[in-house]
Amino acid sequence: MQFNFNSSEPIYLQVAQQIEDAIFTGGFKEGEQIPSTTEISKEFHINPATVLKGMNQLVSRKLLEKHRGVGMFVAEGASNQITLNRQQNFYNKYVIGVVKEAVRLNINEEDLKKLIEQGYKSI
Amino acid sequence: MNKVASVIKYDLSYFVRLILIVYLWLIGLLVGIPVLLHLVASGTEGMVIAILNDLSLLTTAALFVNVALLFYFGFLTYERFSFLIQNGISRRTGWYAKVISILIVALIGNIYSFITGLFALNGGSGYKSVPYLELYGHFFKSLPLDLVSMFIVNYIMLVMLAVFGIIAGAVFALLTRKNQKIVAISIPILGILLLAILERIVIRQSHILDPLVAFLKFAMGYSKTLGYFNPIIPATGMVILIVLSLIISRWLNTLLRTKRGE
Amino acid sequence: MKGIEVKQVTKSFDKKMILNGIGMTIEPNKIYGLLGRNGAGKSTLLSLLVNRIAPDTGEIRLDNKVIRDNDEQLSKMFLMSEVDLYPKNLKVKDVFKWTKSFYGGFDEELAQDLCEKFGLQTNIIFNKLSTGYRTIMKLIVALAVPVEYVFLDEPILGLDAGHREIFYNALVETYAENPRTFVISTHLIEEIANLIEHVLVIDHGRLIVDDETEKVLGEAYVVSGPEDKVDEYTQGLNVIGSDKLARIKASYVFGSLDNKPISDLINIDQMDLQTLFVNLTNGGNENE
Repeated sequence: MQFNFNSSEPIYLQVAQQIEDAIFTGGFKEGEQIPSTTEISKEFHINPATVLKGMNQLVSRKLLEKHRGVGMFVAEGASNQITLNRQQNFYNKYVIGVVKEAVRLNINEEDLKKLIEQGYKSI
Repeated sequence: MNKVASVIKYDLSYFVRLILIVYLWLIGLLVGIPVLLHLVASGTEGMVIAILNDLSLLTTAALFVNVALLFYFGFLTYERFSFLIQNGISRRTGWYAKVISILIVALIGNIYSFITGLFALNGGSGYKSVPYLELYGHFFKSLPLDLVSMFIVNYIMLVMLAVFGIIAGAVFALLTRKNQKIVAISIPILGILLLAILERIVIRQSHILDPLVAFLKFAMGYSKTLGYFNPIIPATGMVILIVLSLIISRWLNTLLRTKRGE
Repeated sequence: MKGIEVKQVTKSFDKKMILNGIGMTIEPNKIYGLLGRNGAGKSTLLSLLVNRIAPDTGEIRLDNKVIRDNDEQLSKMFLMSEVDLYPKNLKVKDVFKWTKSFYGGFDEELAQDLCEKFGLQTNIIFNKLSTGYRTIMKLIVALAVPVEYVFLDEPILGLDAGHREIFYNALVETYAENPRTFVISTHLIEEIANLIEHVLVIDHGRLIVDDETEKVLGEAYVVSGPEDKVDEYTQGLNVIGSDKLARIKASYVFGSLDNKPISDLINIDQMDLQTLFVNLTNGGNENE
């Protein structure tokens, strides 16, 4: 797990985000235990309470499961749920921004579509 | 109570170290060096007598050194206070422990003086060879009672000196570093000046000091009607002084504070 | 109430007001950051908390009891300070020994482990240690002592990057294992920014920030863009400072943005703790 923290968001949200990313990319497999709050806070010098807050956010979103006295585990179906979630947020998170920037750069709808097609081809 | 015991343990271990160092120096100075000089000057001849002489000088010197050490032990304040407060020990506990430590250390010093006194009494010319008994030996008219009173009065005197040390040390610790230096330099100078003035007075017109001498005699327990010294008067006076000084020292103790920057 | 309560505390030295009416509470099991410029009064405040000095007015309580001359309360706290209060001729191992005796406990296992990690020899007389190793010894004592409140005044003074890393790791580990309160005063804010739950900022003897880190940073913004647009946007907001390069301006806002409409030409970012601190305490440099 590699954390890159910035100052533009509360740390606990970033912790949640990074764990979510790790689950999404397969870094943490479903049913697997993830590192403890202590391990994470030691590694990145983050307050354990902050780490726990981030994890609890994922617990309430049913991506993580708390096993009392053992630790946190990736919930079954977490990866699918993240995909679903991200699909729902895709429009707000990316499309709006791209279109706004395109407008600023005088790229019209047709051209933007072409660029997107080009992007699909290059991957 | 637990904390008080810890601090007393610390005080005593500090004092043991202090005493060891001072006595090593003392033995070196009063026995080691004379013996060396004797060896160089006249070889091993008369060596035993010389060593015995040096040792008897040492036992006498020890009486004064003990008193000085006791005063110094009472005097030490700031380093001890700062170490204790660093470790969550309150001023009150620090003060309380110090008083008990001093009672213990003074007792040990007093036992030493008492034993040397007994030896002097045994080997010398009776009461005249022990200063206390020479002064107060006429009061009880009984050797055991005289000895008990000697032990008690000497003990009270040692404790009083140590308590004076506590006060002096606390006042000193409350001064700023600059003022501490000024005091450290000016006190010896003032002392010498005072001595010089006293000397002049004594030489020129000694009766100016008569009231002072009379007061001292009274304080030491001299009674004209009896014609000898009464040890209960100075003992009572010293106990009152000790109690007053302890009250003052506790008040000074509450004013202690760590200094900024070092 | 559990915790430390500081009520209307003032303290002067040589007629100079160092702390001017400080009121705050320090709760159990939290990590606090105590920030302030040199001479702002941080060390004085910490010294007051452990009764090294007494306040001129006001009072300090711990768990509802006044701390003054109170062993029970004082032994719940430990202040590791820049000033060394250890006897001159004491060896490191004897400092450990007496600390254990006075506090009635000491995590010797942790101390030994840290001595090895830092490379601190315990047979050396404290006064003969370098500045860095003095700091290290004091840190080890601070982490090993069985107290509920640990105050660290400049805990990384003289430590190199490697030693700082060891310290931060040890701090997080011991905090996770045995939660207690830490109040950390440091100049290297960035290194502890993610560790502190609560921020205290002292400026000119007054407490100007006393809040959860998340909340404080949630109200700290950098508004940047063309100067006129930025100025237009920030009008009426609490601007605590700004930087300018040509006609591009960054204004630092502390407080609500009042839901103002945001022009496309300006950017709004969250401020980091270091930047916030510098801008909050910029007014009127005292010559120290």
